[in-house]
Amino acid sequence: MTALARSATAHLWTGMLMVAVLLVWVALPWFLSRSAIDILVFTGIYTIAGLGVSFLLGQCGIVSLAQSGFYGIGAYATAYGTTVLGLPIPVCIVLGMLVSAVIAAAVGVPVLRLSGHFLALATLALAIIAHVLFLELEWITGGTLGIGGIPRISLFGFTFATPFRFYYLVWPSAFALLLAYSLLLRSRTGIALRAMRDAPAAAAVAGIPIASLKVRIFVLSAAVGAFAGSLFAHYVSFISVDSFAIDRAIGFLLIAVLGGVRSIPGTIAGALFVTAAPNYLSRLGDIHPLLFALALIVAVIFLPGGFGGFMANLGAKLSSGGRRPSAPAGG
Amino acid sequence: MLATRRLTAGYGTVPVLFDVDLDVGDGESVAIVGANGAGKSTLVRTICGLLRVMGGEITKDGRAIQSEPPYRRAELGIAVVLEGRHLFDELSLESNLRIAEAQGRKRREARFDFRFDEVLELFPFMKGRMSAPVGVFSGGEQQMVAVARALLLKPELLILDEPSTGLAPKVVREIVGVIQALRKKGMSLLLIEQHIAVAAECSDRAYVLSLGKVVQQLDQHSWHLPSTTDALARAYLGNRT
Repeated sequence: MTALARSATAHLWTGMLMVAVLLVWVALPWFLSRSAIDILVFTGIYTIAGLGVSFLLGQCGIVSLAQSGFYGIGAYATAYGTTVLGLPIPVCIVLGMLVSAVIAAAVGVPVLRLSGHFLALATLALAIIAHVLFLELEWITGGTLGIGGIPRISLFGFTFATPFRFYYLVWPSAFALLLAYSLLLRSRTGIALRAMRDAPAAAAVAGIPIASLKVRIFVLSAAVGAFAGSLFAHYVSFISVDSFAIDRAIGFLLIAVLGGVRSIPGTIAGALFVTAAPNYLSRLGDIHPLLFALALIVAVIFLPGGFGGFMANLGAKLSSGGRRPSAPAGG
Repeated sequence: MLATRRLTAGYGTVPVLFDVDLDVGDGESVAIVGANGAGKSTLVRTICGLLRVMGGEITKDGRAIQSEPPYRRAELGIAVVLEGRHLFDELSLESNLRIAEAQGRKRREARFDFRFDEVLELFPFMKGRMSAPVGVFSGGEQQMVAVARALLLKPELLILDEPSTGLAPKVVREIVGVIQALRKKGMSLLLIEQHIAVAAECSDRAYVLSLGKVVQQLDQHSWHLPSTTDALARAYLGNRT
C-alpha cells in the first residue's frame, strides 16, 4: 500500500470513528439512568473548566490551582445577575467571563512571573482568597446560605431543565471549546507556546513576548473557567460557597493531570474519572476517599502521560501495526 | 551599534561580570575570548536580556536598553545564537524558522532583510527537510538552524555564543563561511569563541575576558599577529589552537 493510500485509509478510519463517537454521544442519554446522565453533565462542565487548566499546564508549564476561583466568579456572576439584578442569562454569563478575565489579567501579571513551586503556591493562595471572599461578601454571594432559584437556561423556548436536556447543552459547548483549543494549539500562538515550553530562553530571544503570552493564556483559561461555573449554576440552580473550595481547585488540576496535559481530548477522560470515580466509590461506604486516592496513584503510575497520552500511544500503535515507536501526544 | 559601560551582572545576587566596557561598531565583527568561567556566556545572556543588569548600562545606537525585555531587544535588532543551540526540538524545521520570521516581520525598516528563501540559500541542507523535527538533525545542522533562526529576525547585530563548540572541523568551516558572508554584507557581529584561530579569522578586534573583567583589548593589528593568538591560547585557554 502506498503512503498516500495508507494515509487516505487512516483518514477514512478516523472519520468513521468520529461519526461513531458522535452517534454514541447523541444516543447515550436515552439508555442511561438520570443519575448517570447527571454524572455525564458534570463531566461536561468539568471538562470545560479542566480544559483551561490542562492547556496552561501542558502548553505553558503553568500550574494553576486558581481555577476554582474563576469557576466561582462565573457561578456567582450569573446567580447574582439573574436573581438579584434580573439581567438576561447570556449577559450574566458574559459578565462573569469578563470579570474573571479582568481579575486574571490583574493578578496574572505579578503571579506569572513566578515559576515552579512558587507559582503553584501563589495560585493556591488565589484559590483560598477567592474562597474566603465568596464566604465573606455575603451581600453578593449569600455566604454559607448561598443563592437559590437560579433560572434554567432556555433557548428558543426550549428549557434545559433536566439532566437529559442539559446534556445536550453542556456537551456541544465542551466540544466547541475542545475544538477551539485544538485550533489555538495549531495556530501561530500555539506554536509560539510550544517553542516557549521547549526552550524558554531561545523563545525569548527569538522575539516571543513570553510574559504577555502567559498572561493572555491565563486570562483565556479564567474566562473558560467562569463559563463552566455559569453552566454549573444554571444546572444546579442553587450554589453555595462549598462548591468553590480548595478541593474543587485540586479536582480541576487532577482533571488536567489525569487527562494528560499534552492531550486536549484527554481532558474528557480526566473529567470523567474525577466526576464518576468518587460517585461510584462512595457506594462502598466510608472507605471511598481512600479508594479514590488509590485509584489516583495507580492511574498516575501506570499512565504517566495521562489517559490522553495512553490513547495517543494506542492509536499510534494500531495505525502503524506496532512498527512505529509511540508518537508524542501532541494534543 | 552596541556598547556596554561599567556593566555588572550575574546570577541571583552574585555578580559574575564586573565593570565591563565593550563596543561593537557598525559593521564591525568583535570577538570575546577567555577561559571557561570567564563570564563570556553571562555577558551574552545579559546583553540579550535573559539576565538582569546589576549595574552599568547597555546601549544600542546610543539608546539604553538594559531594562527592555528580551523580545524588545530582538525587535531593536539584536539577535543571538545561544550556546548549546536551544532549538524548539519538538517543532519542525519550518516551525522553528517561521516563529523567527513572524517576529522579524515586525522590523519593517531593517537594514538586512533576510527573506525566508534567502536564508534557505545560505543553508542548502534545509531544502526538502522542512517538516522534520529539528531534534533529529545533526549537531552541525542544528547550529545552522539556530543561526538561520537568528537571521530571520533581521538583526543589525548578531551575537554568536560558541558557534563552533563540539562540531567537526568540516562543519566549523561551513559556519565560518556563513560568518564571513555576513561580515561581507556589513552585519555587526559579536562572536564568543574558545577556538582562538576561528575567532581571529572571523573578527576585526577582540576583548580578552578573565574572571568577569576585560583584561586586554586587541586592535586589528595585534589581534591578527600569530604571536598574539599563540600567547592568548597559552595564557587563557591552555591549548595552542
